[in-house]
Amino acid sequence: MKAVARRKSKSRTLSNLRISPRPRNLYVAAHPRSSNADLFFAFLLQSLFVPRYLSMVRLITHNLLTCAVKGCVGSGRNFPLQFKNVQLEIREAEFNPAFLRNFFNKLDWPALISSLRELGDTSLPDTRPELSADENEAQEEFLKLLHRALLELSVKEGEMVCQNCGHVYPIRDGIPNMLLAAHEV
Amino acid sequence: MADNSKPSEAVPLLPYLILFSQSLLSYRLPELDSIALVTNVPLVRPPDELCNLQSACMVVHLRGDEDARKLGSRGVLVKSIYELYGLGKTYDELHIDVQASRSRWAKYVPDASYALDILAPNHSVPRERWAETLKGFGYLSLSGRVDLKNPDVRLVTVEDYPPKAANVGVKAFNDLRFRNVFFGRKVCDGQRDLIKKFDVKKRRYFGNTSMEAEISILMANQALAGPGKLHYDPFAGTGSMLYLSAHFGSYVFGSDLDGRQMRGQAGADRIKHPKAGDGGISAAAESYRLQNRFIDLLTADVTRVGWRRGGILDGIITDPPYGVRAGAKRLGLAPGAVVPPNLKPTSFPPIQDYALPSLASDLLLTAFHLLRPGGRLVYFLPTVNDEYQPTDVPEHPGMRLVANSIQDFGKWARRLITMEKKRDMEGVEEADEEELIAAMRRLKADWEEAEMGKPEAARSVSHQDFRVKYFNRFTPVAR
Repeated sequence: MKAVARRKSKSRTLSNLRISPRPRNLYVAAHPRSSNADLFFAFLLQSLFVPRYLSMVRLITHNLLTCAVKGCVGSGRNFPLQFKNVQLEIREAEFNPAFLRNFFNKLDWPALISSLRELGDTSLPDTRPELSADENEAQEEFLKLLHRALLELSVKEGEMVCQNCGHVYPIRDGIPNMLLAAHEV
Repeated sequence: MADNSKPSEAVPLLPYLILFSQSLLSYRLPELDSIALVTNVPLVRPPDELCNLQSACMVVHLRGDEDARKLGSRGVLVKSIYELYGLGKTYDELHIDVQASRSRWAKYVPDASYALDILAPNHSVPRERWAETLKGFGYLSLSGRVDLKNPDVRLVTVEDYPPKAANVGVKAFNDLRFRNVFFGRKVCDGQRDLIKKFDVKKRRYFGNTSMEAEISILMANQALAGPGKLHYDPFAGTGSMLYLSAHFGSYVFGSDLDGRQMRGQAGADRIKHPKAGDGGISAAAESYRLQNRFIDLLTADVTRVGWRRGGILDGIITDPPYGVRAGAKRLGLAPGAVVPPNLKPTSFPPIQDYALPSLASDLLLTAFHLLRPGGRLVYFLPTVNDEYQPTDVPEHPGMRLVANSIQDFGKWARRLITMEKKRDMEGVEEADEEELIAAMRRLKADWEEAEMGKPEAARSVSHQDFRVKYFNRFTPVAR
């Protein structure tokens, strides 16, 4: 499949943050029973959407990152990193409830919620809910919200700042730069 | 994390024949064991000492076709799997054995369409013998029609020959001098086709350090990639291992000291291969339709990332830089350098050489911290054949060595090391971050001392100064 030219996204950041709703990328996986006509149509549809850089940093990653600058470790204030000048995107990710259940206990819930609020999202509650072992509708709904917050909200451009030392970790094209300067190592 | 310790139900196991590819022999058994583990298939195979790697055939016992198909869905060194109806040292023995197992193939006799094939790895059966051999199976009395393209059952006789002697001229001389002959019904193919699908040269984005497809598949299998798992490549480069882990279902993370290589940006000419396209890892992931499993890419020094906690990963799968084609670097000042007082924050971070023994030990420490118990570290260690000893492979008390497979290039080799974090290490990964970083610094200091050539230093490992040895073509230096 030939590459379609990528349209560079125009950044129109307001003073602090802007949530830019973009069309979801449509990637149609071939179903074993899809006919040739279905595949052709899906192919056509897909070529209308422009491939772009994977937009990340996802909140799951942000929930695991602390500042590693000399002196910040052990300060108690090197986590979570604070988002600044953020350009947000919703980026589809594969839904796997088993993974979410497994990861749930490793989450730092307060950090996740404070980041969500920083980004203007109120989909999840302040207090960590109980995840029971049964799989009922309410659980499924919650897991879908958790999935969206952890894996689909992503920061394409912006900064993550350490509350302790002020080091700025820039995010460009969805890739954060976690490298440290000479005196911080 | 599937628990394989279910008490075994008394299900009778059936014999199956696995036909393997005849390269990468030392990867065969580790891959087989790993794919059985990851697909939850109880596999009974001969012990290592009794496995003849020179033969492409192996008889194993499985519960049934479904388990065989599961193995076939993962194994790249598996060519095909057959339900075994008989075997023998000669065709006479074979026919007796096959007739004895009539109860298992009788159901195909009345109306199944069939094809009867002869396979002979390491040999080609002369045309004149085909008809005669196939006639020998007359007792099968198959009543269905012959369908060579799409039969209900494909019955295959496999003649297992020893590897061709160098001076064998005439095919016919070796004919019928096989070790064993097998007969069975084909159940499925392995994943040899994946090699074409993930061929590096056809990839949307690749570089000269991209890992070849077949090896990447083996690595993903060794790391037990699968749905719901989280895998990480700390030296992601062009992302080869990430695509394969994602293909098998894992969520993947990658990091690299060089963000340009992950983004596919123009920069040093050697980063991107001249025939590759643009777009970096993202574009290639999209071309494989795996972008929904790519969590994040980070520009980072794996030894200087502040992970909030450990025990989060199911696998670390990587090909660290040996310092030959890709410089092995890490953050840090050159020895003796001093930080200038007015350094601006946007200056380039200081980079120092990263000696391979340090890198390997740091990797092990990092893996121990980040993996959950039962998680796997899979990485390549280059070794110099004349100097290598098994003790060169770094060890850690909390990790056990699962496999050490060799890819030999003559004077040097690279070994795929698979380590697993011991399952009773629950809770240890929450060790104090400071302690961990201090431990890593101590270890690094030890290695640095050894490198300064102090006479009391321990015997150096074969991958010490690998880069220097490589460019000296591995001629031993007189000391």
